[in-house]
Order: sequence, then structure tokens, then C-alpha cells
Amino acid sequence: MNIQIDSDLKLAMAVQPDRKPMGRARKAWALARRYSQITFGGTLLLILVLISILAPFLGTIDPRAMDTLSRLRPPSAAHWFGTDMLGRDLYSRVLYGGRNSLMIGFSVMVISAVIGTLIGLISAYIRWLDGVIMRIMDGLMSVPSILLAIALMSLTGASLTTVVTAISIIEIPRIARLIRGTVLSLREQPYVEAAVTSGSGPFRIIFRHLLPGTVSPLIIQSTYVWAVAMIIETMLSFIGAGTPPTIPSWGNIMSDGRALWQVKPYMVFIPGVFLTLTVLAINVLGDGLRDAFDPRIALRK
Amino acid sequence: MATRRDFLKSASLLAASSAVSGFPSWAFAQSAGGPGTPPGKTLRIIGESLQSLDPIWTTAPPTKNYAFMIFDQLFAVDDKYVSQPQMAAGYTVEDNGMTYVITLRDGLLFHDGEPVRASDCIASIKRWSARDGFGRAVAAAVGEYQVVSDKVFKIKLAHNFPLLIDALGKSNSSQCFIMPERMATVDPTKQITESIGSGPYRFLREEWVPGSFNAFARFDKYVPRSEPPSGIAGGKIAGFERVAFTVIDDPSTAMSALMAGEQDYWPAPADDLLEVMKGDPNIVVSQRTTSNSYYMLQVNHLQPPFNNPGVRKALAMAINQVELISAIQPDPKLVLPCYSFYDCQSPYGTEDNAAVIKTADIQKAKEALAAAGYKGEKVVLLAVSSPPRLSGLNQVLDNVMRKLGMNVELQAMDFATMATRRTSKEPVEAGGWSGFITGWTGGDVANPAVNQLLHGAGEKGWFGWANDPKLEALKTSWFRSADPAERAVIAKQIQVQAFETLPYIPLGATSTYHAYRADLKGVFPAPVNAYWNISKGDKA
Amino acid sequence: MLRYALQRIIMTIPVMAVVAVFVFGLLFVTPGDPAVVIAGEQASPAEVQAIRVAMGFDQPFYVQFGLWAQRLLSGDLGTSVFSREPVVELIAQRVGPTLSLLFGGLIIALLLSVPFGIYAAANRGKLFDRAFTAITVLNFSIPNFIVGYLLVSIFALGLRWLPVQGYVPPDRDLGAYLLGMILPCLTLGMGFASLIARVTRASMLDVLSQDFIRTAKAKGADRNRILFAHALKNASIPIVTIVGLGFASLIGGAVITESIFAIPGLGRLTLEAISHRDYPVIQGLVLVFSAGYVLVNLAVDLIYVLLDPRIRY
Repeated sequence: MNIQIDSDLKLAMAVQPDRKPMGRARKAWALARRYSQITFGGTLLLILVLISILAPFLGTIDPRAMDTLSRLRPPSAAHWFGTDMLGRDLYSRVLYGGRNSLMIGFSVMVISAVIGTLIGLISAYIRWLDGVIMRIMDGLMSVPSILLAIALMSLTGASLTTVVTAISIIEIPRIARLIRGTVLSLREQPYVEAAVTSGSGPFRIIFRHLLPGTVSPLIIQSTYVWAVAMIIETMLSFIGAGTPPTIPSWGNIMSDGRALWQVKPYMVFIPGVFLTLTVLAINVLGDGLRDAFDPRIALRK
Repeated sequence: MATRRDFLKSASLLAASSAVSGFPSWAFAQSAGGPGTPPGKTLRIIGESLQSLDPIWTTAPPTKNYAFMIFDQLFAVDDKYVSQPQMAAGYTVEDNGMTYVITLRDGLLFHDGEPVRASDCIASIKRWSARDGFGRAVAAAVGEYQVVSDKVFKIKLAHNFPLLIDALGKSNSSQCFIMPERMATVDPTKQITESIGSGPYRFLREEWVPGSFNAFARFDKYVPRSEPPSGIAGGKIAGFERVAFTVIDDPSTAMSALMAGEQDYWPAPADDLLEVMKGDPNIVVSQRTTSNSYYMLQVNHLQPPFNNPGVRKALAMAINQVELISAIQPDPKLVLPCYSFYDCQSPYGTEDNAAVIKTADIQKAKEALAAAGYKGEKVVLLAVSSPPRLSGLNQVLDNVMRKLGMNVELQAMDFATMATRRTSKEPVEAGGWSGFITGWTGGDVANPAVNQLLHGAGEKGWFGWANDPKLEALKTSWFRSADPAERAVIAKQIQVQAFETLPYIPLGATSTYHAYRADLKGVFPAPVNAYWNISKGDKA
Repeated sequence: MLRYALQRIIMTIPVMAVVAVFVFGLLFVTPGDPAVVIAGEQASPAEVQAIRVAMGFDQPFYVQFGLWAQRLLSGDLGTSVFSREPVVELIAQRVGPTLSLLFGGLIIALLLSVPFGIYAAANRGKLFDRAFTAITVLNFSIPNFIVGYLLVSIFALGLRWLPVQGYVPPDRDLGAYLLGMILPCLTLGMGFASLIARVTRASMLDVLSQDFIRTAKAKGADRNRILFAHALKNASIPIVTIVGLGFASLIGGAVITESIFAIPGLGRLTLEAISHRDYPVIQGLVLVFSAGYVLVNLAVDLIYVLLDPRIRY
């Protein structure tokens, strides 16, 4: 899709060499069209994040406020998304829930990126630790993630921190492997070898030569981790091992409504749409970033 | 009709492979019943996971349902909660109430063909009375058991225990089931693994998939009593040849299965789905169970803030039972406030001295809380995340406490974790707790003997460790009294005292509907899930 | 190659040992042991302790683990604390349904994704391709239980074509088994299908732009022959890779699918065992999953050899 548009653009420019030089706005628009996936995904994500951040100003009430005598009301003027089984306003819960869901995803992304990179670097750089570390990572990956998370949640009890920890533990091995693989291939590069022979200290080599090469695959993988983390949180809440019930998240709102999807579908449907749009935005953004950074696609451009 | 169905059934196996549209749903309905079962011969019930086969070792509800299918009792309570002879033909009392002579009915057989003997009964009573609360009171009162003949035995009491027959026939866990002597002599802290009883159904061990499926077949040699069923007493006639329990966790899937005819009976339907099922002419929604569910807040008397009786009273004043129960029960008819420490359906269920829990006024409660000297001490609520009713109640209570101005933290956890955490007597900062909600059946709170939460025995008693010597003394005198009228008076005194010191806070009660296909007949009111007497009606 | 396979299997034993110790340790420090669950809601602490001692749960970690490991070496996975059934049997009862679900889901995912991925790659930039990209991303973003509920409401409740729930073993009634597996496998496979589809497309695009394809075109080879005989074979490696990597996450989806459709599989068994703290069952399951993971990885590596003769072990 990008390739088509881009070559059209180039063709158009080549055919009209004496056209006026493009103004900034037109340049920006051309850029946006060229990187349409990043634009679309990024904008959608930004909108959703803003909605969550601005939740207190968007007509919400306390998401924990209960009115047990108006349980399970359908959407109406008083309650835009209806109420749940304890009489809480779903509109408020979905917006505040968005905060929590996005935060969980984002936190997992940051934590697993940082720790995964650390582990990957150490593993790739210190040969004798590599075997041990990779066996442990293998071991972690061989236990199905959901079950590992459930076990961890049972161990520590439900709270935002434990949910984030449990999901991070699942995602770290993937990032560690990615970084390790990237660093291992970077090490073979001539400029790194040159740096080693010229006597640069290990920290210098890592920070100036190796790390920069890991940035683009890390960013791409991390965006996917954000999406996957949100999906895992939803799945965990669905089976009752996720975010505690007092803290709204899209996952546990859907889990609350699970038994009633045939009679009150909006309880599952509305947060489901929000989640789908968010994951969609992140995935499209990730695809766009990957296409932008991929040297082969750049070449085709 | 039957012939056509049989014909279609064999043809359907061929048709199925070619994915024909409009495939009749009853074809799937059959498969759930088991191999080669024509429709109508199997009662298909949406059950819960059956793990253990020992109703004395565990009080898990699926094991109770299993036990009522394959075991029988010496005595069983009728719909007035009066113990009637069941396996016993009758009994006599000698020596001023100190000796009971029990005679067995004729023709009682175990599923392996052996006759039921007095020695089996005695061994079973011993095993039951080692674990069950009421049973232990029996064990403490019994001097010796004596076999007189294969059909007759004596129970000689060491001290007066007028409630012996009531205990033997009770319907709440754990019940006194009669098993073969070899099974009953297994240590009560270890599990029996055999499944031989003398009840109307026998267990199909080879079909059991723990956690997923279990099935029973009619025991043809069972000799039912001649009376009609009443409570868990009376004649138990196995109306179906086979009974199959399938575990379906997802409530909406369970409802769909019931409505599609893939299952016949749902004993624990999700409350909010009942509206849909009531609208379906093929499904009956009825309040079959005579036993209500009672919810209680057990507080920790050893640690602040609930070691302060003023704080306990303030919280009791803040609680509005109607609002609380309405949060988990959409049908107003089933919102059953109960301002008593007993089962409101029992004669002891009065409202003496209950003013404190009828207040339901947050403002007054706030004032009382301040007056009691509450200084913001942390309250930790151990909140189980399932079943949904308990989870909902926990969240509503958390809400009430916050409105009251308490510094409350709701900690969500599963049952195993909660059961472990509540053993801690430490302060909350060291992993202790302040309160947890628990739900029991009416039978479990009917009187001071069975209600384990209603005690003042301090650290020797149930979790919460309420220390109230006066309450304990009253309990002892209730046990010793032989006169029902005197017992009623003492029970009242116990309640009056309890409302002064609040060993726990009653939160109200609700009931459960059962949902089943309209073509079943013979479903009778009972305090437990009893599946005898039910058969296929003519409206097939 | 057989030697390679054996070597791989042996090399993973230390990994599985680490996993076993880790999980056992995790269970050990988790609050709640089987004794409290057995004793039930109404039990007193004294009763719980009596049960705990009777069943040996009060022993220190290394004693309990040692006993379990000893049993394991003699081929005995122990018995469930609750049902007293051998763990091996409990797992064996449930393996069939879960494997049916996993493989059925995988087959459906491949059937849905590979043909479309190839077609999209062959018609890059055209309407089909753009629609394909949009649909796959959207499909991947929808939580799988919502997909499941939608499928049930349309096909089981609405059209009455398929059953709502349940599992019938194939040896009892093949027709009912197949019909009963359609919706669950679809639910499980759809999200995975998106992933495979995108990888298929990307991989095919990659291969199609290479020189040897242009040569074949220039020589006048038939388009379909190019697509399938030449391109697909070379493009398969990333597809197989993604299938291997994704298999582990399929298990997570399987847990949810089993719950929705009341399928008696390993996922549900694990959930229940964890909530009951049924240690022997959990341990046995963890071993089974580790072994499964190893086998899947091995199978993937062996398939590589079939696809690309340059790869040798």
C-alpha cells in the first residue's frame, strides 16, 4: 500500500519538475500519507489515551459508586453505557477502566523492554552466562503463559502491581531473545570488532555501538507487547485471575458481564469495542514502524 | 414417536458426516446422556465438579449431591425438619432417655449385594461423629454402641442428649450417611475411595471424569419406603434409569444448553438469567429449595478496630440488609432480610434485641463510630472472588465501610488463600485480617448446636475468636436442657446476648431458584438437591 | 536425524527439571494448601492441621519435593489429592479433547489463512490485498471469547446448526464429535489465522520478489505453478516458525475456549487444580506442557529439514 502511493508521488514529482516547492503543511500531509499506518494507528491510539487521561472531565462519576437498586440498566440518558450488576455507571467504569488497561499494557511494555534488554545484553555479551540464562528463558516460555500468570496471581493475590508483574514475566523472555539475537549479529559487524581491538571499554561498546542497533527492533516488538499485554490481562480477568474487582479494567468489566452476554450484551460489547480499537491502533502503529524501519522496504521506496 | 426417533437416530450418524443444515438439536441432546441412550432415559443435570467421593472427609457441595444419590440415612428430616425413620424401621427409648434401640428395615442392600447390618450403621455413625460439628456433640454424649443382632443396635448415652435422632437425620452438612463397615472404618481424616452405598442410585465409576462428568444408574434392588417424599424423608423412587452430571462453568453456556434441550436440569442458575428462562415455555423456574442461604460478616475480635464492641455496633448500624442483598439478588421476592442469629425460617428466628442491625442509617452509624473512638485503624477485608454472590457482597460491604468513613482495603483472593489467611491472629500490618464474609445454609444456623460462628469461646472457637463467657455458658445450658420449651427460652437469651457483643454480623438471606425442562415431573421441595422421584413427564 | 532428535529431547531434561522445581517452589510459597480446601468452609484450624499432617503437607519443601521426584523417577506421577485418581489417568482423560481443540484450531487457522495470504501476495496492492490487511488486523484485535460468543449466538442459538457446548469422544460418535468441534476450533483458530495470514503474505511477497521467480516467469512458467511449486515451498519456513512460536499461546486461548464450550480439557483441569492447590496434578500438568513445548519445537525443526534441503543437522 505504502509502496504504491510513494511511487505515485515520486512519479508525479518527476513529471512536474517546475512545480512550486511544497509548503510545510503539504509536506506534513505527504509525510502522513506516506507513513499512513503510523498516522492512523498513532492518531487512534492518541485519541484513546487522551480519553482515558481526561476521564474525570468527560462527564464521569466515581467508577466505584454503587446504586444497588438500579442494577443492570440498559444505556439511557442517566447512564450512557448503562449500569453493571452492582449499579455502577458503566460509562465511568469504561473510561477509568481504559486508564487501568492502558497503564497495565504500557507498564508491562516498559518493564519487559528494560529488563528484557538487560538480560539479552548480558546473555549475548557474557558467553558463559548465556547458556544458563537461555535455559531459564526457555523454561519460562515452555510453561503456557496463562497458567504461569494464574499461578503467580494465586501466589501474591490480585492487585495492579501483581498483574503487571505476572504479565511482564511472560513477555520478558521474548524480548530477551530478540535483543540477544540482535546483539549477537551486531557483534560480528566490522565497526564493533574495530572498537574492541582499539581497546574501547565494554560499556562504551555496549552503549555506543550495540544498543543503538537494538533500538528499532526493540521499539517494534515493544509496541506489540503493549497490545499483547492488554489482551493477556483481558484473558486473565475473564477466567477470574486478573485485575481485582474493585479496580475497573476493560478485562474485568467484560468478565463481570460474561454470564449475561445474551441478555445485556452491552456489558461485554462496549469495553470489547474499546479494547479492539486500542489493540488495532497499536498493531497498525507497530506495522507502520516496522515498515518504516525495515531497510528492505525502504530500499523499495 | 419413539420409533421414529430411533430410526432417525441411526440415520443421523450418516447425516452428521455431511454437515446437513437444520440439524435437529435433540441429536446432540442424546450424546450428552451417554452411549446408546434413547432420549428420556437419562436425567441430564448441569452439575459442579465432583472431586472427592467422601462426604465425611469434605463438605464440598458436589460431594454432598453425590452422597445423596448413592447413600441412605438411618433417619432423615421431613419438610418440617422433624427426623423420620428412613433406613430405620423405628426406634425405642429406654432408661429415661439414656438408651436408644434402633431397628433396621427389611431388605436393605448395599450396591455390592451385601445386606446392611447393624455393624455397618455403628461404624458409619462413629466416622461421621468424628468430623461433623453436631456429630462431635453426639460422640461426646455417647457411652457405647452395642450390636444386638444384624438388624438391631443400641446407643447408650453417657449423659443426656435429647437431640440424638435430630442429629442423625439432619440435612445440612455433613450428614450421617450409612456405608459398609470396611469403608466406615477408614480414618476420618483420610479419604475413602470406594463408592458403595445403599441408596437408590449407584455410581458409575468407569464413566467418572473428575471435574467434568459423572453418572449414576438406578439400583434395581433398592427398597423405597412407602410414604411420599417429604424433605429428605419418605420414599426415594429412582425415576430415571440414568442420571448424568456435566460440568458447565460458563453460566451463559449453561443457560443455552438448557434452552436448547441439551441438558434437563440446572440447580444453580445465574440469578440474572432467570428472566430469560422464565419467558421460555419449555422451562420451569421454581423455588424448590426450602433452605435459604445466609450471609454473615465474621470480624476479628483479637485486633483493632473490631476488638472494640462499639466499632462492631457502629458497623452493624450502617448495614442495610435490604440494599446489601438486593445487590446480588434481582428478584425482590427473594431478598430476605433476617435480623436474627438463627435461621429466620426456624422457630428460633426471632428479632429479639435486633435493633442495632435494623438501624440502617449511615449518619447515626458515623456518630456511633466516632463515639466508639475509631481513629482510622486499617480494616482489611478478605474478599473471595468467587462465587459471584460472595464477590458482590464483598464489594458492596467495602462500599458501605467507605461511606462510613472506615479506612478499608478489600483484598481479593481465591478460597484457598482466604482460608489460609483467616487463620492469622496477627495485626493487619503483619498479614492479618479484620473481616470476611461467609455464606451458609439455613440448616447450618438453625440452632446453637450447628451455628459455629455463634460462640464466645475466644481463641478456642471458630475464626474471629469472639470472647464471651456469658454466651458460652448459655450455650452449654442449651445443650443440656431436655425440655424444648426451655431450650427455646435459652436460645432467645443467647440471641439477646449476641446482639450485645456481636460475635459476628448477620447480613441477611436469599434463596435460589432451580431451572429445569418442563417435561420433568415429580420435582418436590427439599432442603438439598434431591434427584429421586423425578421422572420424565408425558409432555415430552 | 534420529540422533539429532534424541539429542534434543535429552538436552531439554535439565530445562524441565528447572521448571519442575520452580513450579513446585511457587506452589509451596503460595498461601493455601490442599488441606484448607479439603477441610472446607466450616472447619476449625485444628481440623485443618489434622488433615495437613495426615496427608504430609506439613513436611518441609525438600522432603515433599524429594518424595515427588522419587515417585516420578519410577514412572508414577502420583494421585490427585482430591479425587485420589492417578494423575496420569486424569491427564489422559483430558488430553484428547485439548489436542482435538489445538490441532483443529491449527488446521482451521491454516485453511483460513494460507490460501488468502497467498492470494493477497499474488495480487499485491489491489482491492483484495487492502481488504485482507484490514480484516486480518481487525480480526487479530478482537478478543477470542467475543468471537466465540458471536459464533455461538449465530450458529448454535440462532440457526441451530451446531451444539452449544459439550464434547463427544470420536470413538463414540464421530459425527457429533466433528460437529461439536467446529465452533470451538473456529473460536480458537481465528485470531491465530490472522497472524499466520500476515506472515504468509509477507513471506510470499519476499520470495516472489526474488530472482529465481523472475526467471521462472521469463521462462513462461504457468502462474499457479510458480505460486505453489516454487514460491510457497520457500516461503513456508517463516510460516512454520510462526506456527511453532504461536502454539504455546494457543494453549492460553484453549483455556478460555474450553471454559466457554464446556470441553473437558487440560486447560480447565489446570484452572481447577490451581484453585484447589492440588499439587500432584499441577506438577503433572506442568511436566506435560513442558514436554509438549519441547515436542512442538522439535517438530518445527524437523519440518524445516523437509522444506529446505540446505538445512542439515
